[in-house]
Amino acid sequence: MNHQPMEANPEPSPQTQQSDESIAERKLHIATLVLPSVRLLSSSIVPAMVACLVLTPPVALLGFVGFVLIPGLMHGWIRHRTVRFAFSEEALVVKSGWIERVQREIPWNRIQEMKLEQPLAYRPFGLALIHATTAGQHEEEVRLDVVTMQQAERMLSTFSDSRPDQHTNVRAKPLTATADFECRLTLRDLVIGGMTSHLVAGIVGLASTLFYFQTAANSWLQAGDWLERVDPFSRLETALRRWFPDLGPFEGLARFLLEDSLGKGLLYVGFGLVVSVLAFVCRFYDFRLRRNADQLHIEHGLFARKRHQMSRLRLQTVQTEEGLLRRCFGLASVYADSAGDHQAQENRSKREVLLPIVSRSVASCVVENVFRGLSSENAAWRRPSPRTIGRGTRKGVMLVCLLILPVAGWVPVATLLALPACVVVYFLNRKWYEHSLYRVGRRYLVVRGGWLSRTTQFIPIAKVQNLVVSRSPFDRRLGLASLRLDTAGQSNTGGGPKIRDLTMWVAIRLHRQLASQIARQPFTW
Amino acid sequence: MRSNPTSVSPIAWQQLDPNVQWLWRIQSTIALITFASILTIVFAVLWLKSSVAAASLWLAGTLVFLFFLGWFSYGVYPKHAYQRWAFRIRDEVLEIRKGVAWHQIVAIPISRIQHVDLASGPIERRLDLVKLQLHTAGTGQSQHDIPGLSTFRARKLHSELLLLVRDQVHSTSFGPAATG
Repeated sequence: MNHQPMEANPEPSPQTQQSDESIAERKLHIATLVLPSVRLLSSSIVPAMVACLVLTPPVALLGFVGFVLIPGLMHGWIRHRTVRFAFSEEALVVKSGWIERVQREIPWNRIQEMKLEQPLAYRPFGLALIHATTAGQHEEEVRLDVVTMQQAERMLSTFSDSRPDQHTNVRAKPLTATADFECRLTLRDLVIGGMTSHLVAGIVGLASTLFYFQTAANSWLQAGDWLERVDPFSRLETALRRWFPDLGPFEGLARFLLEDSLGKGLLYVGFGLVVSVLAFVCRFYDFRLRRNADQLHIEHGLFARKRHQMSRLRLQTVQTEEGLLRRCFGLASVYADSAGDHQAQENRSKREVLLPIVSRSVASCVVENVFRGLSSENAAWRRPSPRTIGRGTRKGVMLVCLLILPVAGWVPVATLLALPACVVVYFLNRKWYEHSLYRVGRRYLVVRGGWLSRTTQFIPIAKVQNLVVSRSPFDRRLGLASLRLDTAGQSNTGGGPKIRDLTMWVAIRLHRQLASQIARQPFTW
Repeated sequence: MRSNPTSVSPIAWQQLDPNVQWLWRIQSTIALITFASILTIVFAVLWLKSSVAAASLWLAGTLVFLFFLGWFSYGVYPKHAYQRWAFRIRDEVLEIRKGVAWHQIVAIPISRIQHVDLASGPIERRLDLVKLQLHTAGTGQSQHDIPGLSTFRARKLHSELLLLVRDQVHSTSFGPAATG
């Protein structure tokens, strides 16, 4: 991509005024003045409500208009006046800036990933926004908000067409052609995905905490009146009694759910499940993953529709995740990073997903489809050093002693818990060791870890940037070392792979073997 | 305390310039002075707002803490870090060995180096030292530094690395794609 300063004249240059429609220089759509502000409004509802509670509503409204809405509208107006874009078969050109004009020319083959997003407010008007990421910028390289759907589609198809397969020199098939691989998610899959997502666990945890504190505070502080006013169950019960004074055969069930602690807990879980399923269905409705030659197309969303496009040759890491619930049902989700995914994504729910929910066997089929030649690699799985069991057990036992000793002062019987706790610690460490595996093939490195919830990372060895062997003072005492690998993109897979607790000489040998293997291979983004 | 850019085998570990120990000592002294200033302000506030006994206790604790910190950062750390810090180029891989308590060996394949910078601050310039900064396309650890090289040796290593990177690019059929 090139960054060139540009003269202040925003008029189209003669070179760009060509007959081909796809080359002509264009402004952003006139809706740029309003629609981004509408999106801003939707994301500002919660802060606005908090402001209304803290301040008086008129002051909060005035502050909201003065500090959020008007600047948002002005920003939209400036963007509409200053941003110009054009695209040819070779590159996407974007001119932006008010005081300092910048012309950015990005060759299509340097774009890692293109995303077409159609939020709910944009859909009735046939409008969309485009994001493009490259390996050179930490943030997204281009954001065209708002363009027409036709322009967005044309940009996406130009990106797809102008990226020949780097190894075979074969162009990607048109989107309409039959895909080499296709994976769709049904409503049933999405419901299962929602029911087994982390959101449920989060909501259950939060609800349990709230419930515990409410009960504890009620008994300790004797603040029954105040808490009863805040208690959602008492409100729900009052409302229910007002509308349905007699519930007939459901009276017992209603009393159990609204008055009994277990019932309240179950109601929280049920509420969490419903919210989680709804959120999952809205986000991934009509999910499709297709592979045409080397191009991957992902499409999903009920209200806000998203479409991603990237080459599988660009992928730096692919990760399959099996959370506790999903592992029980043989399910997994698949994440992938390209070199454009620089920024570490702290919020797990905002990570871009390759496949949100799929059976374990389909997940491995997808990974084999994404990484050429992975299925033919039959390197043996290896484990870290067994010394890790003893080390982990010692650490765990120390922790158990630290936790039990203070309690033992009050309740001496608690010391009896120490022995079974130590057995559990040993068992957990043994399981951790048994489930920590790695495999070094000719082209791919696979690292797997976790017993209750499992993560498997697939890394093409050619995409590794550097390797670090590290040894803490405790590692040195036991003759152990850890090997960490760094790749270009780690936003969605949550950090580079790390193989812990290898024997020192195994770590050094692997470090040297991989480094010289990487050095012999060319790096392509 | 000048280092001699002796011609060593590319596989042998090469140490940093011995002057780097003075660089680390000066840097830790600056950090200590800053830290001591903050502690002094706390002492002054305690002196004014609280009892003399509390302030004296604070002062005594601070002095003992600063003494040990100074002893470690001035006497122990530079010597051990210098002994540990080394680098070498082996099989088209640049290896860096570092760390006093936490030992690390970093391997950067030459073909993955995006660009190489030379940087020197005012203290480094005074000591005729330069820091070599290597950038890869990685995310977690994209930048790796080799501090405390004499200017001559840094420039030599800089051009050697660039030559190796260029050779790597030309030796691959992908050409410019290899460096992004």
